[in-house]
Amino acid sequence: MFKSSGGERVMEIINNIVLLLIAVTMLFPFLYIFSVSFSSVSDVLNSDFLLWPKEWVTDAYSYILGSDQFIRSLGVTVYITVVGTFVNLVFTSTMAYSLTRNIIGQRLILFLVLFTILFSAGMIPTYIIVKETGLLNSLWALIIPVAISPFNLIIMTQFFKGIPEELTEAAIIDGANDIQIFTKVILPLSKPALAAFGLFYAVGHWNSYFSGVLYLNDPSKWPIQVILRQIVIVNEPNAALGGHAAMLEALPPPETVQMAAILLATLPILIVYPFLQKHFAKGVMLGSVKG
Amino acid sequence: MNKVMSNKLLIALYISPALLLVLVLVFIPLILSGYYGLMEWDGIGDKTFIGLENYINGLQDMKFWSSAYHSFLLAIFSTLSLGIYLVISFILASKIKGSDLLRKIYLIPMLLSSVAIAQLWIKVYNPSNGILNVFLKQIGVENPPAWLADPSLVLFAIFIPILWQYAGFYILIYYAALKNIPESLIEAARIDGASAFQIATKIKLPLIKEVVSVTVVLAIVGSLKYFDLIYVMTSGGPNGASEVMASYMYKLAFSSYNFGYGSAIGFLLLIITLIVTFIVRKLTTPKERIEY
Repeated sequence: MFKSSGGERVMEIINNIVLLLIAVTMLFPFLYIFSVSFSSVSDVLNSDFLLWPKEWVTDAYSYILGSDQFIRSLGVTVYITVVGTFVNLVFTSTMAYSLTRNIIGQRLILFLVLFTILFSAGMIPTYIIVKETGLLNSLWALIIPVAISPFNLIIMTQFFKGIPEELTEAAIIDGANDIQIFTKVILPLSKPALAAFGLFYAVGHWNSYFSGVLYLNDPSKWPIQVILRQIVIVNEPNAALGGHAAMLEALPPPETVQMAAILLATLPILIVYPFLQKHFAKGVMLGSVKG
Repeated sequence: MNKVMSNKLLIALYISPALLLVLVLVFIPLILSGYYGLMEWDGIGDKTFIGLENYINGLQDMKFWSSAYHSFLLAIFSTLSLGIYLVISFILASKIKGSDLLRKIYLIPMLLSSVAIAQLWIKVYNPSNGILNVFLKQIGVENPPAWLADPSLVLFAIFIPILWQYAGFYILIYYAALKNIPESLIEAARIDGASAFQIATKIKLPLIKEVVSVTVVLAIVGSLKYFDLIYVMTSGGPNGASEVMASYMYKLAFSSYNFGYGSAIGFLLLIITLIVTFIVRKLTTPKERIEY
């Protein structure tokens, strides 16, 4: 093997430190949010760097979790994530499968899809179409317009193409039709890929807020990220949570409520991430190999 | 023959729902955008055809040009930041201990919603008790700036969270490309006496040129259309200092109810993105493909 010289050793150490520092900047904000959300008012206002709660206070959490509005929005988000991801996977996989079969106009269709990865008309015409199709103020407005991500579609098509042709040919000889090939051969072989795409889509649904702001007027239909925006940006935790604070003796400070809300809205994803990150990374890599 | 035909029908059946969605939700809006731009319209009442007036106004609108300037600044920032990502990926790919765990950590910001990220960074930038200014005061800076309220700094201040958010994505793409390079090529170069730096710049970089070129396009187009954090953090303020094309368009349509003019701006934004993408693709696509 090659002996590394002294200079290279130093380089290596510097590199390691830089990489670690970057990792710290990625994680540090979470620690900060976590600490503030569990701290008391006086600690938040008086201390400079709050990296760990001095005394543990859970007022903010009981306040948020006691709000009907917050719980309802959580339900809405779970609904959109589950239904939306299902719709995504059905539409994306069926279209990806058809694109692997030689059909007329395939190149044109592929071009149309690729075009939409880079260019979109923007929110005004999309808004008008959502309005004209009567989806305004319906939860489907958060699902149907994003039913297919062209990026994911292309990657999934590539993935399906990578499945050995002998398998589908054998199925055809056995008399299978396209639906059978798709459901009995292609889908079972694509489970890991489907998991990766499902995760991509699910994270997207969980985090979507702008379509909620744009399409939903009725606060009872707002998903969690819209409520979060009301709490933290509009800075009206009490109004956003349905004004149930009147029943409490003292209002927890907005600072801690905001942080607790961020943590609660993000937690589900952070909990699932370690289990699914392998697929997630694979998804990004699949995309890049195609380039 | 009949079997083949029925298969074709079936495939057409498969593809139709998705294709229909793509057509209805992407291409029709695209054409509509250009069409609405020809109208005077508040989004609710009747449309009045006014010809190219909106487009001419748009081209003479200083607010539009300043928002376009900010969008282009973002695009330049993002392209430069790809260099940083590239360096990090090179280090990561060079057999660093724990690189797996590091990559996982780098991806975390990508999982967060824009609202959460925006809120987080608003706290960091808080002029009086934000972490950043508290730190600056402790190391002796007397009057640290009010980042998001300072017109000359706000764009830069918003760019940092964007850099932070997308780091994991681009690093992972580069990392995957670097790991795809056959080990034998690197070994051969090392035997020929190439230094680590030479291997990185003379061998690895040319081999992942194609991937880099694609990410440059992605970063530039993404920046020109960028909206998310700006909308949540400053909504274009203070006094238009962080207004970008997309946020300007949003304001025209959904705050001033000037859908016609907003659509025209949206269409101009699309044309600009198309032209820039075309130019960037021409400039960055490697002339010959390197096979290995």
